[in-house]
Amino acid sequence: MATASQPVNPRSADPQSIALETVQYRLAILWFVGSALVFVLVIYQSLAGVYADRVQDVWKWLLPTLMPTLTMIVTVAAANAFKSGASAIIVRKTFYRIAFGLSACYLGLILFVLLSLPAFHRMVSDQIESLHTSNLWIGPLQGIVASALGVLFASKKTPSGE
Amino acid sequence: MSSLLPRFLRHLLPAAFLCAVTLAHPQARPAEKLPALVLHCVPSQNPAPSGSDVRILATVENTAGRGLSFSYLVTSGKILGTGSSVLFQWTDDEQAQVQITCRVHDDLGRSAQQVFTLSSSDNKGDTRGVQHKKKAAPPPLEGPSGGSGPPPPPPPPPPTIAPPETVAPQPQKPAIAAFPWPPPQASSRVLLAAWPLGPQMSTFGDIDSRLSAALQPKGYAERSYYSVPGGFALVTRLEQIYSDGRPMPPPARFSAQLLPPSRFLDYIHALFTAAPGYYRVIVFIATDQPFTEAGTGPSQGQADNWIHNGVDILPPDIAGRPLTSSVRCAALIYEFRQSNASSTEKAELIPGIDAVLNLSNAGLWQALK
Repeated sequence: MATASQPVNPRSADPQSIALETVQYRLAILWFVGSALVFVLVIYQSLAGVYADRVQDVWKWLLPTLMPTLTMIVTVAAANAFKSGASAIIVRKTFYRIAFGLSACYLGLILFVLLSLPAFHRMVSDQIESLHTSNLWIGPLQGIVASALGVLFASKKTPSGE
Repeated sequence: MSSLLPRFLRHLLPAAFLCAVTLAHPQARPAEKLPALVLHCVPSQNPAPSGSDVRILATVENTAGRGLSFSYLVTSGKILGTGSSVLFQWTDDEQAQVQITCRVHDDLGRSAQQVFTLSSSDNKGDTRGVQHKKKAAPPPLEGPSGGSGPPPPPPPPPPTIAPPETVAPQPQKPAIAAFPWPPPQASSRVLLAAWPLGPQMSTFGDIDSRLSAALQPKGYAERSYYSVPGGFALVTRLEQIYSDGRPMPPPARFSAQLLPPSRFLDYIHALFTAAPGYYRVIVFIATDQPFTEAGTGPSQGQADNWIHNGVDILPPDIAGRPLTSSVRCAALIYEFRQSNASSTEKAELIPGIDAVLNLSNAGLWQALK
């Protein structure tokens, strides 16, 4: 039986499980790349004057959608950086796939909302209104994604269940 | 990282790109139903003297900037020229009336037709009718004295012959409004220097014909005429343009509102740059009077109203006026910029690009110069 004091290779232990560190690493990559795309787009649009004098409204909408999750990811990564040795914590691959899919959908939805603004509205005031309207479907999805990621990034469960 | 990034790019980026393309592509949206064409065919005079040429001007509404083809059918006489402005020529002096059928169709398959009757003002039919009635009239009654009495009273006046029903009533002469004079300050203007020196131009109507022939194929189906000292002014409808003077594709072109882009390149442009709206009104002024521009330019609302306050055809008394060597035709461009920040902001008259570039990018310069 594997214990926390005797690290095992989680992949060899259970083909349906995956190491938590690997999961965190992959999710972090997804979130940083996806967020970078969104930030680069909005930064460029802000500098180019796409949103005229409503730039602050766009950032007020954008930052709460990304920053809480990014902050949590960075915090956990920083905490893990001080630990020595490989962690033996594993998670079900099924749940990892669900969390990854939800994250990808969430980031894709944010990018989609930003990209669709000029396709539906020419007036900036209408675009800002659409951003606020999009909170109706982005908000619930954000809650689900945050729950999934919170479990994964705070999980301490080992293969032995201790 | 090296293995995850390509996987991520493979899955998420194409999906996001596809979403954007699907949204932006016009075919992804339901096709907008275009309204039916509305055709107005108006002769320059009706009734008209037999033997004289009658100009027929066709204007079409709801063209949506599409190419139009005009055709004319006449029961007598012949049509000279093609397009929206043609000449009707009588061939039979005895003909009292001619039925003229105007048809138009565009490259979307829409069509419209108007039939009207052009009548001769020589009243030859009436004359014949009068003579016939005179012959058929009973001889004047003699007095009971059988001619030996006092002279008979003067014969009653001849009965008034009502005009035949087929003769169209004389249309009311529209009162042509005067264009602000001197014209308001324009964004730019250009004198069409070669005008009107062409050998085929002898009247103001010829200038109008040439302007109309240049404007019609480029989607400027809606025009208004004003009088100016020594000539006339032709005003096009307020249209939405790109910053370089190219007209926007319909339906945004003649929309007063800033509509979302309908083409993918326009979408990309709107995604990465500020996208204010640019509007333009072109005013052609043909006059023998030199003129300057007034100190202040018009508002966009004023310029937009010009198309509504003018008459739809050049009145015959102006159209038939002969040209003199001092008549010139100038194009004044009124260009407006509408911020896209808020719909409550007013559009402002801007210097814009120069008039020649404006006319070139509108597709008019080649036909006008």
